[in-house]
Amino acid sequence: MKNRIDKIFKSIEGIKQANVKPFFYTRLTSKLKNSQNAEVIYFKYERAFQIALISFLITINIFFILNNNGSDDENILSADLEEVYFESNKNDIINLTTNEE
Amino acid sequence: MEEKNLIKNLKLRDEQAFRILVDKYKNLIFNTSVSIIQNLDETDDLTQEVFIQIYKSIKTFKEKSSLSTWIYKITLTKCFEHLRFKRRKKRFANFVNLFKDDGSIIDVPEFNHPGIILEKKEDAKLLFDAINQLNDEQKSTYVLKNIEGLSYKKISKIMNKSTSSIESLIFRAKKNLKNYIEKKLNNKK
Repeated sequence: MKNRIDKIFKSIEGIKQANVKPFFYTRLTSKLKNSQNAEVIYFKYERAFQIALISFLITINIFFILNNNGSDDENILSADLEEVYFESNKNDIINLTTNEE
Repeated sequence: MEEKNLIKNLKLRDEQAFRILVDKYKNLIFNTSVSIIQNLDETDDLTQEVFIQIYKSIKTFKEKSSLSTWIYKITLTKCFEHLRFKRRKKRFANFVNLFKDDGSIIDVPEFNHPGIILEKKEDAKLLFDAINQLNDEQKSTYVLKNIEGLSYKKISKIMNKSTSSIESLIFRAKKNLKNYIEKKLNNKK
């Protein structure tokens, strides 16, 4: 078994260099040009994309700020409701005690 | 062209310098990657990717290490990126197959290193299968030492580790390879 394993380990001794496929440089330069073109398109529209994104974020912010201001009325309304609720609870307690009497 | 001049011209985007770089390092990149990726077509694509990466980031190369060390680093990074992508793709394909089983089997092509002579092909195939089971670090060190024939010092520079940690990585890699091969041989019996 040991000899068999050693033989397997030695199978890569004297391994020869493998070569790339033919016309490697031509294929590489065309791929490089394609990747550069893709980058050019990205950089061409990068500024427009950034402006659109910032405008979108600002719009969302304004929308939420305006909505928050509007909700002040709701807060007042909910405060009023709480007051009415607790007042009515107080009356119930009074009513209960009067009934007991 | 001297290395310093070559780097200087590459930074100036000189086409002649790029051609020299490709001629000088294409086989180094291809041979390192082919032992890790274990697929000839994918390795050819990956070699191109490495050169594109070199072209794009040569301006950031600070020349603290030799050009070949830097190229080895890029090659290894690209190889493991590729393997991770392949594993993700395979997991996704398996997941899709759970819902849409059309009976087709994903065929993994057999790998035969082109630099191995015919009589050793069977043994080498088993060894490459075993190498494929190693983790990223053990695989890199084993390939760089035993297939590329680099020194411990060079490997330690490429992998940013001390020479003693490289030695221990190779020791563990050999142990794991031996265990895997033993198991395979016992199963064959």
